[in-house]
Amino acid sequence: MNCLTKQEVINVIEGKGAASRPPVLYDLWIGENVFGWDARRRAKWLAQYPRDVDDVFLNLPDLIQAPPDAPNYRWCGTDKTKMEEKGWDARILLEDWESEEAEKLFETFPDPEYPGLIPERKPDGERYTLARWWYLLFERHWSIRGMENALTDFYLYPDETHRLYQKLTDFYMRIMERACAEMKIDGFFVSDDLGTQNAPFFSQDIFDEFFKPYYKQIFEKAHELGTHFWLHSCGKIEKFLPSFIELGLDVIHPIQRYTMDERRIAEQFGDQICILAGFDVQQTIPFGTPEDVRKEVRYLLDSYWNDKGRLMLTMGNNSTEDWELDSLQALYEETISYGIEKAAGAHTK
Amino acid sequence: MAIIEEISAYLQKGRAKNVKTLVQQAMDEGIDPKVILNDGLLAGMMEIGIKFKNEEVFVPDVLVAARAMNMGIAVLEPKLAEVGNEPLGRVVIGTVKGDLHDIGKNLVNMMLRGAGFEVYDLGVDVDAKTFVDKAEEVGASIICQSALLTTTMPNMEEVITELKARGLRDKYVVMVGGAPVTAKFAEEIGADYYTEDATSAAETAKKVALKTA
Repeated sequence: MNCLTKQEVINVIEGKGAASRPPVLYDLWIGENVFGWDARRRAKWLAQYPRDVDDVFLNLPDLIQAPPDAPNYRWCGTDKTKMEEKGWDARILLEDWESEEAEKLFETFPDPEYPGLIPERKPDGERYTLARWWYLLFERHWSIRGMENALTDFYLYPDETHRLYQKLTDFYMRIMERACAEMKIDGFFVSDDLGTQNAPFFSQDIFDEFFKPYYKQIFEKAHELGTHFWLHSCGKIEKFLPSFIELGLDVIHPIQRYTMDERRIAEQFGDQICILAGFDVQQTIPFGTPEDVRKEVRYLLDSYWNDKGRLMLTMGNNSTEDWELDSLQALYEETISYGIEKAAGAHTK
Repeated sequence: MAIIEEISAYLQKGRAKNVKTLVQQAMDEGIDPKVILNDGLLAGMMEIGIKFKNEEVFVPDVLVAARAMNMGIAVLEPKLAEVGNEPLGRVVIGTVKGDLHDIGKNLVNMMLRGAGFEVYDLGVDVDAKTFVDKAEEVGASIICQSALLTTTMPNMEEVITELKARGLRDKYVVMVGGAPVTAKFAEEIGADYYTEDATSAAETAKKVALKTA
């Protein structure tokens, strides 16, 4: 199926006009787990539908495992064989900011010049192309400190937190430069979950002090490189949207369903930032019927539609094994047919 | 008593060292340890819970307050044991089988402790048998289950099935929560309560405990 051109996607992101339908990016979050871990089956199934954006993952450091040719290309500063067998968010790589281990973490920070950073597959640049990685600031912070430590670090270890965030920012800005120099990249798409189902993780004061200065540097670097910056941030993050807009964030994903009011978000912010609407993965996809999926697509398109563009669609988060292909088929079909209808209305005005 | 109010106020600011010092001072002044606990530490934690629910404070504030509460309780514990202080109730809590997410469950744990419960945290990836075995072992009256994934939330029903199989269903109140969990789902699997946040979970557990006391 025909994909939108790179320029059409750019126009949508920058609010220069809707395309013939909204960009469809569901494939970015539909993994092999939906297809019994069969990569070929996934590729064949997805080939029926538009894939308006190409993506490539940069090879960022692992928490503890370094590649043989770069022993410091890992986040932990000291040798560790495995992570604690605890909850995903309770594993602690660095227990104590006042320890020698902490200093070691800074001294042996991963080298952004590591050659293996750039993946073997180079995108052809025909379509709009994203360079991606997981975990930006807060997510990388808690992956090192454990979630509870990271959240209290804002009060108990502010200097160390600033130091970590600046080191991360410097690292990220350099890898962004390299990605653009070595590949054809139009945007960067990174995750940093800042909200829970009911509220932001932390206050606006914490956001202003610990996040704004670093996001600003990162977003400005993306723009200096002639690219966009896309941020995935789960949870109720409505309070931070004005700051993201002020800082120049180009695309926000997913405006998580059930955490915010879609129509209010569209009214207040829809002209100022491109919304990469995340389709509901908590109720409709795993538990709904194909008809429920179609209704939800229409609701999202009606809520967010903007004649200037500023709307793309994808999944709210990564796929899980309970996703049914019937529902995904309905998702694509309705998005394309109703999306074309919405766009035709815009173009005849 | 000004000192009790001060304990509560410092706890809400997460000032653990001040809380510890003031609890010791209150004990030295001969104040009933139950008053220090209930009107100082737990009252402060309940206040934080209300502010958390109203988005006046956020997770970091809850964490530092809980840390201050724990330090105060540690000072107070020997005295509480002497006077035979009983918790409001006993709760077993965990994240269900197959799910490794921790933080939401931990916040509920903190709020439950702040409400006066003795909480047994089984961690993550907990199977139904372990939930029920632990509840039986410690004499709990409430079982709390958490799930973040749509693929693991069906495992919540297994605890209900296990309780029924052992003829224990009426002995326990089963509470469920987590991002994709809804009141409808709780009803479908036969859980007693769904709550949407940590503060509501503690409030509901408290109501249950007071009703059955």
